[in-house]
Amino acid sequence: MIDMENRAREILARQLRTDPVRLRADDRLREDLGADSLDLVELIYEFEEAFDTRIPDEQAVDIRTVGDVFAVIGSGKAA
Amino acid sequence: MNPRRVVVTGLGAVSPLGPDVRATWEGLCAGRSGVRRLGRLEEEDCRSRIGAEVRDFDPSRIPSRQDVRKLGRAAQLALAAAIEAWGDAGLGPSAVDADRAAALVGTGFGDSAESVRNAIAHERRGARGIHPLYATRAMVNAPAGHVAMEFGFGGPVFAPVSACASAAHALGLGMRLIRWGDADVVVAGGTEEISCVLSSLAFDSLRALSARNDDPEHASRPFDRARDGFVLGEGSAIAILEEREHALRRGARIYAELAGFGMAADTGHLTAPDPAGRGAALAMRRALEDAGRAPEEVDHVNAHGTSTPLNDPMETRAIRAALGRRAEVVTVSATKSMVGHMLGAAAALGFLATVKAVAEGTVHPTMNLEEPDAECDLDYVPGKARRSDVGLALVNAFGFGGPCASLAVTRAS
Repeated sequence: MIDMENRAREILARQLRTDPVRLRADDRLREDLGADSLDLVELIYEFEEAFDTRIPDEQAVDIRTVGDVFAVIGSGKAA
Repeated sequence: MNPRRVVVTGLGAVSPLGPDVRATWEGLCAGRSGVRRLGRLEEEDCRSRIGAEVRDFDPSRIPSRQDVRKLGRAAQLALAAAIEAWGDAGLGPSAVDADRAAALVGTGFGDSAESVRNAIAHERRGARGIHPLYATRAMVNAPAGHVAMEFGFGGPVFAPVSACASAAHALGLGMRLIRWGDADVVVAGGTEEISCVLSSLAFDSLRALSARNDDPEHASRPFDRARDGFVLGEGSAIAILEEREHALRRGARIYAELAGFGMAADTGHLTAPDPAGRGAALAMRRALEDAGRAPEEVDHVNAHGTSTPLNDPMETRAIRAALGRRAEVVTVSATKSMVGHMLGAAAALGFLATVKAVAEGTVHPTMNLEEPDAECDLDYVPGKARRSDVGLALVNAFGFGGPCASLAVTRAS
């Protein structure tokens, strides 16, 4: 789980051009980290690639914060 | 004459000769070759294993406000050249009305290599292999779009596409946009990249490339008897075109004037030119007419000069047809003898070399011209750069599919 979170941090940080250790669970992707709609589409793609999973649209729209990312990739709901 | 005249106030380049205008122009004047063996072709069962690459290009060093990792290589090259040109012109946010600024960046194939990568991913993994940025990287207007985004333009933004004449159409249409009143400043030029082996293999299969693999630096030899095809090149060159009064008002340094643009077609065959060069000659004549100048006034021609068996004698005849007796005294330089054929960017680098020739009074040499073809008998400035007072010059570009274009560059007045 920690490994998955660290990997997700790296992906987020690279995509949003920030430092992985500065990311906090309650950071909002759009408002706090400056993600735009294209960034979010790319992030979903990157998470699917990294964790060999499928994140359906209805789940993707609920990803608003860094914590939401951890929840989705760790929940096992992403099938 | 149209009261709105167009001058060149900035230049930028990333080429096989270096990462900027200075290295590129010095390389051209010194007769340096950017052609090398390409390692990625060593294992291929192909004829030609050479090319003129942009080496050591590190996109992360482009001083852009965009995330350049998300751009394809052709767009990255264009962005780097455009940022250099913009700085060279001294254009800050307050110096130009962004809504009256345009970006026209031509390309032959753009980042179509993205299609190859995604096709491979699709073959292996189906729909899930397709990258979300595939569409926005592969679209041919991506380089133009990213250039316009960089400076926040609100004027026209598009990619003129005419194979190896694309950059000539970008520059010529850019000039027209200013004359027509659609823009005061146009960032115009071309870009091309050849990182995917298919770029080389496409032209190799067409038997259009030089196979002088053991002597790459001498492979591109326009107008020489022993030429055996062109050498594929890549890079980008960008010019800042500006309405003359606009440039004068802000005290800009003016390199030269882009005074005329001629377009024609050579449509007898998809790839082979009309031997008499009818389309090529028509383009040159129209460029001169557009500039309000006579053939007798031309001092210099930057040739399309590809080093293919068919182009070079055709272009020689076309220059004679367009310039008459003046053809016997003009200097003719082939930029491709050093940087190969940069396809959709080629005319932009030829334009840059010609603007420099006008501004600095030096014409760069045609390299590797050791024994001229019997049918190529003009003054091609063989082997060594020459001081020359260039008041009026033409830049030629012709492409597969028929486009013929010529630009008339004059000394600033």
